[in-house]
Amino acid sequence: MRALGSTLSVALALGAVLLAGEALVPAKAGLGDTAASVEADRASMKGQLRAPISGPGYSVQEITAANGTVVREYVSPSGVIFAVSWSGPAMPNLQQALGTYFAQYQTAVQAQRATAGRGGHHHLQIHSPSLVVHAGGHMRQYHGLAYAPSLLPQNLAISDLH
Amino acid sequence: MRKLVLLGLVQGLFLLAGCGGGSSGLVSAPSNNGSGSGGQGANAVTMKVDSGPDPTMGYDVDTPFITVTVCAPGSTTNCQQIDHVEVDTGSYGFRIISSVLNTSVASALQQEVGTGGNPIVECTGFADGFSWGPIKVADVEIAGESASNVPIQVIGDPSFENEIPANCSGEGNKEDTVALFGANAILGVGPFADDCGNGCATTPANGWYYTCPANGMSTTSCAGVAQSEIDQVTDPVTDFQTDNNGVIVQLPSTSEGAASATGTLIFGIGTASNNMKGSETVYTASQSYGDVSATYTTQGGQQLVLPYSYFDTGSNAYYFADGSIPSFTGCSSYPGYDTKKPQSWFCPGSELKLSAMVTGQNAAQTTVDFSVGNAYTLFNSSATGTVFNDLGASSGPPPTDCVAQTTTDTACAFDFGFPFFLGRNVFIAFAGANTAWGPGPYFAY
Repeated sequence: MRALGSTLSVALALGAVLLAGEALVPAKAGLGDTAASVEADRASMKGQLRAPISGPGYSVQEITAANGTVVREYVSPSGVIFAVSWSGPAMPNLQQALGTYFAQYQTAVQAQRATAGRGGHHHLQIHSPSLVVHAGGHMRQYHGLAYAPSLLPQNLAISDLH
Repeated sequence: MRKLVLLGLVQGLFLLAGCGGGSSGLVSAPSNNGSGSGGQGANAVTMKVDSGPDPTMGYDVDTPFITVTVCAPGSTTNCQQIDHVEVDTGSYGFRIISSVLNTSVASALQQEVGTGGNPIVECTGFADGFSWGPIKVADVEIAGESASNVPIQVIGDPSFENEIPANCSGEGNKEDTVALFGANAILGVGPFADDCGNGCATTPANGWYYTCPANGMSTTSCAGVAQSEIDQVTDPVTDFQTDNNGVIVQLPSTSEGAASATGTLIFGIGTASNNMKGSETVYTASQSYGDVSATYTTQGGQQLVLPYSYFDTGSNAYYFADGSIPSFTGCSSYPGYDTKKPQSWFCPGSELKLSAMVTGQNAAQTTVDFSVGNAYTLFNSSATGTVFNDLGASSGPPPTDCVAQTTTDTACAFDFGFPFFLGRNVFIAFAGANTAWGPGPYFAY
């Protein structure tokens, strides 16, 4: 995990990503990475980035993809993306949004799929010690929230995320 | 291979000649209703709830199925009956798993193509993954109803498996087999005619529709493409010549854990003697999402405002947020619980009698009473059961946002899943269609 050194390093990182363009999106981005990776996610989603919004004890980077799906990345005071949410007419690229957590996300979904009495296509719940995912909705209206419990800022109730 | 433009034209003419876009309203069609023996009219098909097409690979519960006939466009002989087609009021359009189709029909379905002749292929998003496959044109028959030149999706077609774009595979797990899907095909009869809508018609980077290299085995990339609504995957019911303004899902009351149940899917609302609205109340749905509003008070006493609520046969339980009812690790003491993959089923110590208030956009309001039992106990007490009234599952912790009356958080939703439909007639009127009881989109029950 990269540490957030200073405002300058964030600016440099952002600049480097912007120069690199869409073809060279770093593999590492999204959940668990630093706020600097938000720009990589925006580029990958060909989206619009809104100015960060501050919540109590965290800030939010909001990306609106070309297809209208909104992805929010929640950044802790130490500069780490500890949660990602999505809402809109299409599923987002979770590989991008979940970053290094995507592999265990895939494994968890496959394990559930192998279970008798399956949960249907329209909801997904993953509760593992290192990753929690709630996803649901119906066609044309998808929503979800993923977070890494170990990265949550202290005293933050996950249900309070906006 | 026909060009996309021609396809659109043919469909346009068909709509004009056939049904005027669903405005036939109350025109009564007694001829639809009298095939005599068998109990089902021409506009009604038997709906069966059972363990699914392949119970050894995945045992379905609370999932309704019908049989659909798919034909090559224009043919009445090159056809195939497909059983175990899931009826899903939470999606729009018809999708078949590629491996189910016989060679004769599969090779005769017409590929939709974009500018330059390249095939149109779709990435269909689900909450737990995606399906990838080409858009083909087929004739579709259900009971005595038929629709010509319907754009459908053939999921998992080997010709395109090498070409899945990163933005599609990034949506999660690929669902392209009967075992993963739990069905041979899925018929989406929710309140919209097509699967993506205007967004996909205007934005090439829509995440759904792509044009892909024609040779099918190329690894060069597919490109996002704007797809007009008429060429998007379309609910065949909206393309029926008659009875095309909505559907009615009829399911009987059943004993808890019944081995199977038999109901009826009826086409049309107010178009025949078997699809008139009786005492059911109309709840109009939002134009944007086809949703109604609900309020639910958790067992902890917190009232949630849920403006993005819906009725979904494709969800096999009531899915809602209530942190006061045990689920996940809270169910670890029950046989069947798997520590490696905790599930979202609710497992209250005793059956809970609950209620939610549903409000339509038209301010029509009613209280829905329902029960949630312990899913593990229910499954354990009925090893061969496929029909459960009392299945509930957690949709996550209730967002604090949902306390506000004006929330815009789409996670503020109550999913009235399959158990809601048991013992009810649920009318679903399509957006853009007229009925004797007003225009869609609406639900009535």
